[in-house]
Amino acid sequence: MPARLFVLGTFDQAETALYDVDLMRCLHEAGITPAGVVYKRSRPAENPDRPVENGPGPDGRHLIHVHDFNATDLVQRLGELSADLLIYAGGRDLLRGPLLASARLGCIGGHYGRLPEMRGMGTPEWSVLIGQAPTVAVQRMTPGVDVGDVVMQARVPLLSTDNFASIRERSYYLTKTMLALAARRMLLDDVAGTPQAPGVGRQYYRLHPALHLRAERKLTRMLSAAP
Amino acid sequence: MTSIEILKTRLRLLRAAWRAGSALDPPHFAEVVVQSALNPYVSAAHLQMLAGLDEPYRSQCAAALVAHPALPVRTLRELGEFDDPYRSQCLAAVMARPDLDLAKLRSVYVFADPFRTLCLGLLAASHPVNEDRLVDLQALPEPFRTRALAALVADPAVDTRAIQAMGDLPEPFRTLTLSLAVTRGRNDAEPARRGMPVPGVPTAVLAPPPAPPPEIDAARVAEFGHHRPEVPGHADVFFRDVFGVSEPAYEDDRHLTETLEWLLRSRDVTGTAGFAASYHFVHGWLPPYPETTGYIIPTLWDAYAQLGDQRYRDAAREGADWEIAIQMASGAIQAGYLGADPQGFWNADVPVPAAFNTGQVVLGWNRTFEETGDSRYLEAAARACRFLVQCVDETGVFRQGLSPGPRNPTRSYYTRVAWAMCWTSQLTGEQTFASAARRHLDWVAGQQLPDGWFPFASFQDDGKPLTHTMAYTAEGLLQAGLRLGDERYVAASERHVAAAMQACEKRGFFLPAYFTEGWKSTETFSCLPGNAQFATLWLMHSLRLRDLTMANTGLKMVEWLKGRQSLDNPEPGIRGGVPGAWPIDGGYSIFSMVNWAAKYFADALLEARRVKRELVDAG
Repeated sequence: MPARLFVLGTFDQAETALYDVDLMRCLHEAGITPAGVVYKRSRPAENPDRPVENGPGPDGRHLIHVHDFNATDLVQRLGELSADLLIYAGGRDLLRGPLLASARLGCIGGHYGRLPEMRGMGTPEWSVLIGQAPTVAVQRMTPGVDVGDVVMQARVPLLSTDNFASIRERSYYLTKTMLALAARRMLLDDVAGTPQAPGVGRQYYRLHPALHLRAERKLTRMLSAAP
Repeated sequence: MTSIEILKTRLRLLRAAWRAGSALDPPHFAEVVVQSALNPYVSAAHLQMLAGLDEPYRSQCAAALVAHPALPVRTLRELGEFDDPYRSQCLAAVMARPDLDLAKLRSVYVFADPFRTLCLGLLAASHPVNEDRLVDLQALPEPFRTRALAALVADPAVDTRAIQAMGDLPEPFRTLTLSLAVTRGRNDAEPARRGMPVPGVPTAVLAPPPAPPPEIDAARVAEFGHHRPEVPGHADVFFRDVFGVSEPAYEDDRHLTETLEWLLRSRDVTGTAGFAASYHFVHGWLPPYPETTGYIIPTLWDAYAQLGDQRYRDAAREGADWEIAIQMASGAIQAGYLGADPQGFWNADVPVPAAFNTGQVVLGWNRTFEETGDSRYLEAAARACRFLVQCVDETGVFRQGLSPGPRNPTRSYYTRVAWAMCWTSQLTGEQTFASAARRHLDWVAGQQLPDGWFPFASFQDDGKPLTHTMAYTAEGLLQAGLRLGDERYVAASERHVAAAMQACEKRGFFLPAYFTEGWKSTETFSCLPGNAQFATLWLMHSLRLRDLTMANTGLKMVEWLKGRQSLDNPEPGIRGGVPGAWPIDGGYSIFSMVNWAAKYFADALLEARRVKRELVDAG
């Protein structure tokens, strides 16, 4: 699909391996070839002060190494590259307005939790605690926390042997797949996203170990009661 | 047994103890004799079995036997083969767990510290660690050895031989390899793997290695230099906070009892039944503080109800008596401390009546009346409330009896006084108390902004309240609302604490000491009494609403506060106390362990007990 899609993420793989990460494979299967990857390393000392661009290579793809996705230089460069869509591959970065507006269709990202009810952190555990099915969502990123338009969301299939680690792992792959599908539909102008109703839902935070234990107990009961 | 029989038994025991004690050296001799005479269960024969041991270990064993007569004397004797400090550590371990296997203690003895002490802690805590596997780790270099031990604690199935083989790998590859070995198959529900406290084991053992220390601000060190850095224990706290390190967190009840012990110590040092305001790094223990003694009293009654230690009950009652003895003729309680304030904040030529302080003491009297049925406490409370009624104007603002320290002419945190007045009204049937209280509560609730913010909650007229007084305001509304069955006050409190919860969580779980309207803050330090008060409020509201998110934030704050409390500091004024600020040289009650922080931390721990029992564990 001829589109200017850029993936943003924190990756510690070698540059040659960046097009082989899980999200890239999903995009490939969805028929999308990203125009480039904007990445940073998890150790801040390994990131350049200003964006360093490598490319375009023979395949026409760009690799841009940054220390901050909101860097003015990067925002300007993405504008020059006429980006259609950004995909945020995940992490705890706060993406600001100028970056999100630098691509024609904005930026999409994944979230483990049903929107608009469940924003924030520890959401698989909180979902179980409040009796909601673990869900993953794809949203159009905004500067707020998980308040963007919902492009797609789906319940995470559960197995009787599941625990939170296995649910998170399944959520991870489900999110990558959904991000690729959502990107394809957005690039085809097939979907725009549904705005979240204001005032609905709440933000959740990291769990105290006692609450985590309670969530585990509840999950065990929930799975053993399932048909 | 009749009184005379008891006396005869005591005398017989005294003689036996004298014989046993004669084998000991002064000054331990007299102490053991007197203590054993007071303890009808200690065996003189057991004391005599200690005769061949070296000092000071012999006296330590004697004191241990007096405290725990069922201790196995043979084990105590055999521990004598070890050198100090391991011998003393083992004695403490055996006191905690008398069935401790001597062979295991011997196997750990050969290790070098600090590894040996950590291993001993695991044995004493009945942790299912295999001592043979500890041997695999003992030759590893530090700090990798401690990390490896933490890995073994977190996952008893981890391959220690494989970890031993990692010893020669270069860092950071070695630690990364270790973390991979531990993360493999971590999906079961074992608490230790989740960072849950294991009984008796400091959480720090399970925590990842600390981040490298930041550079030290020379100005802060220079300031600390004026706060008696030479006193053992002072620098421990200061550098702990400068480096951003946490104290080990143990089970809640251990922190609770240590906090209560600190409070009792703060009382004993005054020579009265009032509680010293604080332990200050320069001035030592400050004079007794009537206001906070008043609101410490209900905490002691709660602690007595939950833990059953009669010293808490006695301290509560004696504190209430002391407050009656110092009540002013007007019915009021004075501002400030009872005695000269070495810091010069509260000094006045003559005692000044203070409405806020009076209200806090009324809370103590009312609770003591409810617990004892003694009408003297209720009469004192009624006298006090007659004074308080005169302090509230027609609009509901306290205009008279304003404490002279704070400068704000209009104060919303006097809701805690209104709570005391409502309560006294219910106990006495005197409606004027409740109507004056309601005027104030209505005025405060009417001031509240839609985002939960209360104007006028500050000590100063600056619109920048401390979390301490913000929480005061919410506490008064909640408690008065519950007493009166008036949902408006309860809802106002709930709006405020819910907003504070968001403000704390959104800052990466940091509650700044000060806020301004709109819940804005750029402060970089916390006011620990405020943190503890909000923890209690979040927990109380979570129980009322059956709200797990508020319970979550409250429990996390309790956990955070544990990391600010030292349980092994050599200075008794610090050990078990809670600082006024974090870091300790922050902007509130600096270099001090304040009694109201200890009181509110105890309240939070007591409330956490209820929440875990009734809300979290019940689910």
